[in-house]
Amino acid sequence: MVIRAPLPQGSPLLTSNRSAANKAVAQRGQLDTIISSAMVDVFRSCGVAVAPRSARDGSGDVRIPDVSAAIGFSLRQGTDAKAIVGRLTLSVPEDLFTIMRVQGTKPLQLDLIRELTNQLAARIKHRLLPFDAALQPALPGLLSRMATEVLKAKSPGLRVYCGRTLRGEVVVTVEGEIDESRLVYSGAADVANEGDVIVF
Amino acid sequence: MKRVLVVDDSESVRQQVTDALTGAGFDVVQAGDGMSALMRASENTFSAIVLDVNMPILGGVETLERLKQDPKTSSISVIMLTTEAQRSMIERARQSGAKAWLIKPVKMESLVSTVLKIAGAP
Repeated sequence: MVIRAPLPQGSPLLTSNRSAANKAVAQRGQLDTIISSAMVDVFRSCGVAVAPRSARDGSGDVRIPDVSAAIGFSLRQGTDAKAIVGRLTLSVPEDLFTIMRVQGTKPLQLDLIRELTNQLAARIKHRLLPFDAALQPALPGLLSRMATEVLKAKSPGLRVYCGRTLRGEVVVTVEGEIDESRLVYSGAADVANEGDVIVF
Repeated sequence: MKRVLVVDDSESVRQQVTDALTGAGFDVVQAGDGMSALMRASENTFSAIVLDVNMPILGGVETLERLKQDPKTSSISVIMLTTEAQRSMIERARQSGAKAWLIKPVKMESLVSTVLKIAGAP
């Protein structure tokens, strides 16, 4: 599965149509912002500060940390569009659990990374809704570091997002043919906020 | 002592919620999916159920609907605890008889105070 990036990798402005390129860069920034900000917010909820690094495609030099989880998703962009499928992964260094607000034994730590991946997917889903993009996450599962490395190596269009923490880097990858040219703001979505308590 | 059933496929979430509710004086029973929750609910008396939405085997909203259809479990107060935040889904749960909808990540103090408000003191 390859992400349909609006611009060829490594040559974002080498095009005869400069305004189309600028638009594509802006759209590309939008998706990057959604994913990076969701990553920061998920860890903030666990008491961990994350400083995102700039997004890159298929970065070969990024080292996948110790513990990973993945969640599949389908994404429908627009009402008439066919849904595409993709996968989101979240990887964290084992040491990070020592500074998380939620701690526990090793099995609970592994389960926690599944849960954080689930929460990350939910945040991205809610942030995509105003752009007429309906992301439907499946259930998360654990992924070995080797499997994550293989996925990274086999997917040249994989989006890779890194964030620095006090205990090493966290890495988020997104695989899927997301058509960023269709990410057009269509009005605020009717969504409550994370952490809300709604009593009927 | 009042008993609360905590239903979530994430063991870490179940443990967090259990610790918080046990600390507040509740007796807590756990289940990892909707089907197990239905079985536990029909076997025991619960003052409240804290119910996740996205779970394997049987999802939370479907579990809620089945709980409310069964005379043996229909009077149990159900509090949804989930990452889902779309108003349409929240409204469906309200119409199905849920008492509250909490969006993860939620502070455990907020969860405990919601359970106390809905189920009463343990």
